[in-house]
Amino acid sequence: MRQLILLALLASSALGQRFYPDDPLEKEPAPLTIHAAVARKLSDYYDFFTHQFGKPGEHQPKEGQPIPAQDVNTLGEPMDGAWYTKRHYYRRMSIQELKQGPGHAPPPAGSTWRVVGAKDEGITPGFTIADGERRQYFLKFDPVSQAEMATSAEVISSRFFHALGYHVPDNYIVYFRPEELSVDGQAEITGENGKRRKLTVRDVENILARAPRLKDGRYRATASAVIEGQPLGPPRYYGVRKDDPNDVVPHEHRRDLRGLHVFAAWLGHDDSRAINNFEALVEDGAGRYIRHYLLDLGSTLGSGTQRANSPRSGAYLFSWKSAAVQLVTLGLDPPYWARAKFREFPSVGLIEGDAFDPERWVPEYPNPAFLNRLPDDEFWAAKQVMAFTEDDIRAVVSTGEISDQAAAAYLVDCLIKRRDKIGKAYFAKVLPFDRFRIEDGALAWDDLSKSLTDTRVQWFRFDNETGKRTPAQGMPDEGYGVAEITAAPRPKQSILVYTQTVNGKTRVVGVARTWGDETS
Amino acid sequence: MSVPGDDSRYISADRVFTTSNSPGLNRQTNYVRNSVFAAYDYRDNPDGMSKRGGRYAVQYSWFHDQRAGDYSFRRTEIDLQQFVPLFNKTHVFALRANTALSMTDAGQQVPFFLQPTLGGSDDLRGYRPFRFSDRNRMFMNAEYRWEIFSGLDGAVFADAGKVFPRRGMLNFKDLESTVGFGLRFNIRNTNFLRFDTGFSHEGFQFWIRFSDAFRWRRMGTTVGREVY
Repeated sequence: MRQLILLALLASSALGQRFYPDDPLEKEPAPLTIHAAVARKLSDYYDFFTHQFGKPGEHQPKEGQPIPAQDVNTLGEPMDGAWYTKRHYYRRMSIQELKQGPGHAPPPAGSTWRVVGAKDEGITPGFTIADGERRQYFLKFDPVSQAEMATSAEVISSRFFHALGYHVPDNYIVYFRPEELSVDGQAEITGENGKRRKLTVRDVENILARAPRLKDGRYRATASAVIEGQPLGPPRYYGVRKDDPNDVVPHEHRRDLRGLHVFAAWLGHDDSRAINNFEALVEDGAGRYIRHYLLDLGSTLGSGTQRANSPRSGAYLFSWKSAAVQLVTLGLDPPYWARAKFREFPSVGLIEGDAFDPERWVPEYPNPAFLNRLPDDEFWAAKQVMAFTEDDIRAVVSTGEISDQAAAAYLVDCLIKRRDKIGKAYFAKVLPFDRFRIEDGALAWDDLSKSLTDTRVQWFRFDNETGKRTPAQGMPDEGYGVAEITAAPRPKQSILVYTQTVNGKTRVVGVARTWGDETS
Repeated sequence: MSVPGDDSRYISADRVFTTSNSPGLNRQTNYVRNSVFAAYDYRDNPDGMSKRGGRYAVQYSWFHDQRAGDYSFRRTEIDLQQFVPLFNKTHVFALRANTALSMTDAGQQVPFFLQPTLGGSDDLRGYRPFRFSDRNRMFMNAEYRWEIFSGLDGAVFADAGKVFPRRGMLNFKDLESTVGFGLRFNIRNTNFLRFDTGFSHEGFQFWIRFSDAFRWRRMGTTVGREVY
């Protein structure tokens, strides 16, 4: 009993402690080894109806303190791990790194590729090839009427999402001649009767017949490297995997998934549904664990994969309120996206930056993680979007190898406009200060908006055990301190920056943002 | 041989429809038909719900009576469709004009079962099917369609048309008219279910159909209907 009481006291003490010696954590703790995980399928229709007419996951309360993101360290940053890796914003990537993305090596051009599998049905027919080194890639093609559109979107967006921190497959633009393909004797395809049968040269020809062919006789495709590890199917945007002991934060409360809303808006990824994500049981130096990927990015940047995207991109396919308004008004109050003006390039599809409104943009149907996002989630994402310079954007777009230079320039222009709108929208909802650090013995930071000059800092001593604050004259010489930063034009927004000084050496250990009456 | 009806509430059909107002009523015949056809079609989605572009078609047909010898005729049919989109094709004005004009040599007639008709789900939607028929026909449709949500469009429409015995009566006088509203369910830009309610001075008609109101009819015919 005495031991139990002691344990309870220790636990209560530990629960009250805000910072631990190893804070802030840069990486997630080493994953627990998973010996087996169950692969699962997810019906597209089930997912649609579940989210459209149900409310899966835990949603933000209508009143009271909102539920903050739970997968963050004391600085409010997601940690490197199975979902996310800090990249471009945190450690500026070179142009070359941005263009390379996660890539290791494209399939070698000019050599024979063995076709080891094919998919003749579905939205994106294609086939799986193996190169001379037995690396496998899935080849996907453009629709005939929209040459370069889906393939460029897939490659460009995978580069962006990689730089934004997500795990994505290695995607490359490849060109090949039909004679460079050979059909593997063991390759199979699902026939029209639904049964598996041997893949034939004719099957490959049938798939190629639905792809645009270049004037020189070659075909252009996306080669998407097959993800290593055991495929497990799509992760959902709510709940956790019961067979993954490392998956402890409900997905709807992950900052990297809440903030994905902003990235998806920027890149027009309205198809950001569970089925376009992927999980694989991988094994590397960290152990054997489940890694989470974003997949199928061909429906981004104005592409609808098999056609140009719908102009309604950025609106739910169905919403009671919008439908009622349209029905009652006989359509005389068109939604904002219907007023967008597009320049139509076959290689780009439908995307624009003038009518785009990041605050109103939504994916095709409700996403519990996106819906749970808070201003600090949005700020976390917006600061990463704003970290892309025009040169960065231009460089990443160039990886799509869009031959129409006017189309490529238009896409760059759209992304810049959308980026700037994202910064404007989300830097206004919290104080846009970040990268807190100690410089010359004083607290310093970057104003990401470069517009707020009239700032005020109020220092407190901070009791790490009780959370009590007492006013102080400047940064405490020892122990924990907290600086409350405010800016004159935004009285309801503030940032608490926690510091710890040990032996005269001070470091920033925590950041909390306040907006309105709410705190992260 | 016809058997007169014996329900006193209704006039017997053999008194309403006679050989003088319904040529071919008492004589069966066979036909050989030839047609020439031309169309210019630049609709954005000719196989589904068109939202932009137009289709202008004309067909000239010869109907050769192979048996009775009294019912050979020729027919010109013109069908014009225009789709004017607004707000990124979320709103569409769909317009259609159609006429069928029959020509006969001396002593020949157009049998009643090959006369153009009006009334039904695709032309005058406030009237029952086959409500009007004669040697010639004209009708016009104007629809305003708007997207309620992805998968459902609303529509309000107005139809006008008439049938007439002589081609010289092809004008805008004495038109029968219909107004109405409807819903169009669609998937992947193809209309798979349509509800229309049309109102006319004879009452209203409610239609459930599985195709677009302006659907394109391929070469061929059903009795009394358009041949393309």
